Amino acid sequence: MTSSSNPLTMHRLLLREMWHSRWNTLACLLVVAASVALYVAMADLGAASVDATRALMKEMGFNVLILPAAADRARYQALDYEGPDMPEEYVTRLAEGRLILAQHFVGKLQHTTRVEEYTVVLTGVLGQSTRAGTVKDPMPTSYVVPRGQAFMGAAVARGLNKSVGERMRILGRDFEIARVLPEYGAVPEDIRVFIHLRDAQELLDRPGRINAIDALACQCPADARDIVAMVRDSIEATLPDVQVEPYYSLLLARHHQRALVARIQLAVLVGALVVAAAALWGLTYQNVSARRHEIGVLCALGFSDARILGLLLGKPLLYALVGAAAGCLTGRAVTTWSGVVAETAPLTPVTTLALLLPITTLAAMLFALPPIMSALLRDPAEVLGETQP
Amino acid sequence: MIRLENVSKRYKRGNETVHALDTVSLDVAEGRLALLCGPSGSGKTTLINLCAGLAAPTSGAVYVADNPVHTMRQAERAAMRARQVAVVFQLFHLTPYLSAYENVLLPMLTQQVSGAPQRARALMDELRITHRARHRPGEMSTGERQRCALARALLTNPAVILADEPTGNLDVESATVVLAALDARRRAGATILLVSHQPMDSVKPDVMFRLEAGKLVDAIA
Repeated sequence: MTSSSNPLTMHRLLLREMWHSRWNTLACLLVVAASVALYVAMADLGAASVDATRALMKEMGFNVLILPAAADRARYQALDYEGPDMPEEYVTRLAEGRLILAQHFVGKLQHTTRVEEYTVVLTGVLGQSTRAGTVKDPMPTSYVVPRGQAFMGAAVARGLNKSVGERMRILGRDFEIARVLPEYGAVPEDIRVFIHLRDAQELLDRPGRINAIDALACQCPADARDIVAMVRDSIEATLPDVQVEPYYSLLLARHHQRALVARIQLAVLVGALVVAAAALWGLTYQNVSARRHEIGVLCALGFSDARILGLLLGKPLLYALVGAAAGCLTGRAVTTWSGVVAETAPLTPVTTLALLLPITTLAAMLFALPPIMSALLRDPAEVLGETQP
Repeated sequence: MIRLENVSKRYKRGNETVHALDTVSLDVAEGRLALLCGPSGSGKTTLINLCAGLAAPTSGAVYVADNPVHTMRQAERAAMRARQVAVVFQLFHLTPYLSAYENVLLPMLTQQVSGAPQRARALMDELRITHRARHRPGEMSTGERQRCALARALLTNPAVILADEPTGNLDVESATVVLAALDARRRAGATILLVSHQPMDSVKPDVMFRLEAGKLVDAIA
């Protein structure tokens, strides 16, 4: 005979029942674990996909051009930058703007000139400004150039037959060629000569001025319809006297990829929830139906409804916690060990995975509640009068 | 200790209204054993359920251990069952995944029972099922299961015992053990309402009631 000082507790009762109906318990556990694993794997794949697209887009350059309001777009496209300019301080205002749907900004002062009989686009830049501060990892079309030095576009280097370490004279001042840029395959990028913004402002006698800002959008909501208008409006709200010219294809590709990932994740989440809800409802219904006499007896022994409810809800609480933990580990294992996601790709943060535990538990208990309540509300006298199976 | 005043119980079965009990009044004093007889369907189990607070009367008043059961809320009735009233069912209703010993201890989860393990062992000795302590209900005979169910009912030393045909499915030996245990509780001061199809020879009730078609037709002191 068992002779422990505390031979029967509610926990022991709960665990005994879970072992007794172990196939039901195992099925519930698997449903929860599979749903959570599916969600975690999809979230990881989504995060990796967004990151891969971000890297691709970064290679493709900025997707929004901001010009002074009076700038002539046709002249700009013809590499004639002699038109109106704007204060350099606009870059800071954009970076600090709260409602801007873009993150990276580069102020440029550009001027088309000739260097040793070769036409180049002299481009003064400081580097990128972001909401998080100046970045140290600029995009291919933006460089942090030390003062007195120049970065040469590939076509310029070829045309002038210059290489790193040589000097070149620009508008009467000598610059050391610090770097020859990789071929970009487009004008004006390959005919640019990048110098420090201050050097450019001094050479062109335009202190504190720039004539274009490159920006990288977009942080638009996944369900946004007219993102071009949204980006334009958000920038113009901060700087009313500019014109915003998005590069549609780049902007839309980035947005559509984000939106697609978000939609797939939502569909998987909803699908997993629906399947899990139906399965848990059915399994719980089967379990409490088989336990109707036990519930009636507990009632006859004087267990309060709240105590019986606690006992019945203890089961979904346990299998949801264990299932969610197992699901998180399985989902993460699938994405990291399968090789589908690159090792360096960002995955769903652990804090988000940790949040899945209480959310899954709450959801499982909600799904299990209707059949439990229906069993609990049955007349115990009627149940106890039924023939036992 | 058990008093019913003009108690009626009606319920619907399909389109038909069943009169399970019809203005039944009876009184069982403290420390008495009452035998409730009657044919199947006469309302005996309904009366037990009303006394236990497992069902509510359609009309009339039910008092058990000074509790006005007919006016009590569900939680109060549960508390009354936990502290003062035990029910023994004809169909035992043991929990299938617990051992006999654990089944006997089940009431201690809702009511503090001092020395519950010792008391459980003593009850199992008295009811001659100690050798089945570690066995599950499915591994026990019908008589052993009923004795286990009775031990469970007696763990809290209830003031009122409602036994619904506890010997209905038992062999003579098991029935004798069960009735002897109930008789011992009467001598210890418990009030017992014992339901049976027919009068019993091995127990001498203090009072006997007879139900027929939901009506109390006979009461013999």
